[in-house]
Amino acid sequence: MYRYDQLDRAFVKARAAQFRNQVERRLAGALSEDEFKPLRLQNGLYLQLHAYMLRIAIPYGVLNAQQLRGLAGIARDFDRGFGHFTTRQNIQFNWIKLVETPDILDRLASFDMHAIQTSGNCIRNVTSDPFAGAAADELEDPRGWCEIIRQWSTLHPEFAFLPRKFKIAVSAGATDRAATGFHDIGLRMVKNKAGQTGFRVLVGGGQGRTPRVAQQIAAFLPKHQLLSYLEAILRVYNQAGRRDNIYKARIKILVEAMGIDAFRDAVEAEWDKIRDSAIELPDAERDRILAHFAPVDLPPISNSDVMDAVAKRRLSDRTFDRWMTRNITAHWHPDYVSVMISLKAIGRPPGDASAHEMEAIADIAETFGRDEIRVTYEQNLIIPHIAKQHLPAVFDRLAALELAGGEAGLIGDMIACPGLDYCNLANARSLPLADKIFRRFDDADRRADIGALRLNISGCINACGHHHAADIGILGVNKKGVEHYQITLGGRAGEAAAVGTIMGPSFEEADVPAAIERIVDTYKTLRHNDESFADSLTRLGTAPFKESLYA
Amino acid sequence: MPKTDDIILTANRLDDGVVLWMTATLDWTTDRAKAAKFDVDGAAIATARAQDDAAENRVVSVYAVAVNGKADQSAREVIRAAKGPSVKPPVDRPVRSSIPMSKYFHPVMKRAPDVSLRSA
Repeated sequence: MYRYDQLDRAFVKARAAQFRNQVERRLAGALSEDEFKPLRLQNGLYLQLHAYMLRIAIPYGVLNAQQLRGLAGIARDFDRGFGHFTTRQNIQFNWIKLVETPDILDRLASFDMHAIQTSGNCIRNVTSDPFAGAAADELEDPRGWCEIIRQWSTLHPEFAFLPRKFKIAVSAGATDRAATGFHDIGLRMVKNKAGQTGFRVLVGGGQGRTPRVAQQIAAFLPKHQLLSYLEAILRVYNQAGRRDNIYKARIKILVEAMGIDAFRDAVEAEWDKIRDSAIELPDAERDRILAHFAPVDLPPISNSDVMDAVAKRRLSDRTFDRWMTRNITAHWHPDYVSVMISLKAIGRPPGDASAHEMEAIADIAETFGRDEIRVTYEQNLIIPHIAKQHLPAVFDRLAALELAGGEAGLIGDMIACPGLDYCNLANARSLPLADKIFRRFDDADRRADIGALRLNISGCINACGHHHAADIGILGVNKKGVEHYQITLGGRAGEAAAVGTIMGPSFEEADVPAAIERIVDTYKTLRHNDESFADSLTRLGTAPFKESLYA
Repeated sequence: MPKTDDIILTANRLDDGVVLWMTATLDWTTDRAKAAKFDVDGAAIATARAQDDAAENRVVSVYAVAVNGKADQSAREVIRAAKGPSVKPPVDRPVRSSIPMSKYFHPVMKRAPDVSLRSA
């Protein structure tokens, strides 16, 4: 993973010192709230329902054990002993004091982290495949390119005050695990006919009140021209994007208004001015950054006795077998895997982890992995590079933490925003509803029988819970002062990204779990053999599901 | 002319973000039960005081909530008054970080929660 050098450390410390001065001026009255708000937002500090909330950047979701322990320390010393992992692969703390925020930023800087550009109308944390560098199906490790984009976009003087926030995702796997179709810019690593690796560039995707799937602007962009092309897109957006209406300010609105062809022409015209200019990184600097992401040195391990023991345990321990089935992902090295740690369980708000859990996971990553932890778009954690023979030991440690029960990709693996329990913008609660739905399906065999099903919940139309991109999406709305929930079907985040279709009138909270159950039961009745929910929905259309929903 | 609803006034304390409500003495409390209801005449005075407190950097994000059985009983205001989410977050084990608390600990944080924000 990327290691800070002296320049990086000096920069982050200087930025923390700058914010300390801004906080002191705010507390002394030298800055008004109107003057201070954009400054605090650019350092990830929001004022939420109960207190200040600090969003800390986890670049493309990659942490080492020291950093995860450091976050645990912040949770314990400055918050209430837990944090919330987000769909942008970041972490949020919900009970932050303004006066302590400079100390937190100093603490973050001490282990090479920060909160820069986790809010505000700027380029946000770049997201990526959480299995990057470990996946069996990737063309090359995308994290080096994420890091190049991070360095280019951090405090970029031209793009500090864009019309609206801007999100970029990079994926290099055969399967898109970074939801590139729902980003302002999505980058998919591909090969051209000559066998060269480059980027397929998508633009204009996003969720919120106007969900749009990104469109292709370039079929193949050579890697060495990435920054000038991104710069050209951002320049066109910065110049032509709307600033008169916050709801029409995202690039997706501009792309739609211009049409993708006219938008592409504008970008190409801008690109002609800067292509192959000094904006592109010198080869040596690019190679220096990419070298941080050289493949991990993993020795071959073949201990047939141990692997026999693993196989026997799968036969005798159903929880272990389920965990092996759902939470283990193939690695490019045949003797290793990646382990997904589910932060979803009955009684646990999705994405929340306590300080001691973070510390214990850091220990596992250090002991059994290669000192790396990944945060996923689905609000779980991953430890890559685990030798297969260590899986029983890793499982036992997670089970002792009660973190071995959740299954990746099944109905309990819900994405949920903080909702009205924490958020100033929300119309309805997400977290208690997620819990009620989980309880409705409180049977591991039943969840396994239902199979792959993505259920996402957003507490308002801003769609932080990505309900548009779910097989079953739930949107919280305020109906005459009462929390209601609208249901959508057929959204997808990966290949063939799609926006879900609204089924009809909303439900009161108490009625939602039963409504979800009717949808699931309809699927189970109508599915063909091992057909997934998504495939059944594609074959059948929404009609039978809608009929059961409002029966 | 329809009767105007009474209001309560709420805000966040600037330095730590804690939720506050205005009392009958035009001070601020962290206890929702001590929030005063203001009629039309009282609301004008209370709102002016709240705006002064915001201008003088004691509180931020001031807003009024109508006491009509709907707005003041909305999920948002109920959750806010409860001072926490309606779900139980994960509980940390009672161990302290090895990293010491900051030397920059701000003196204003030593204040009891309901003491006046204004100087005598």
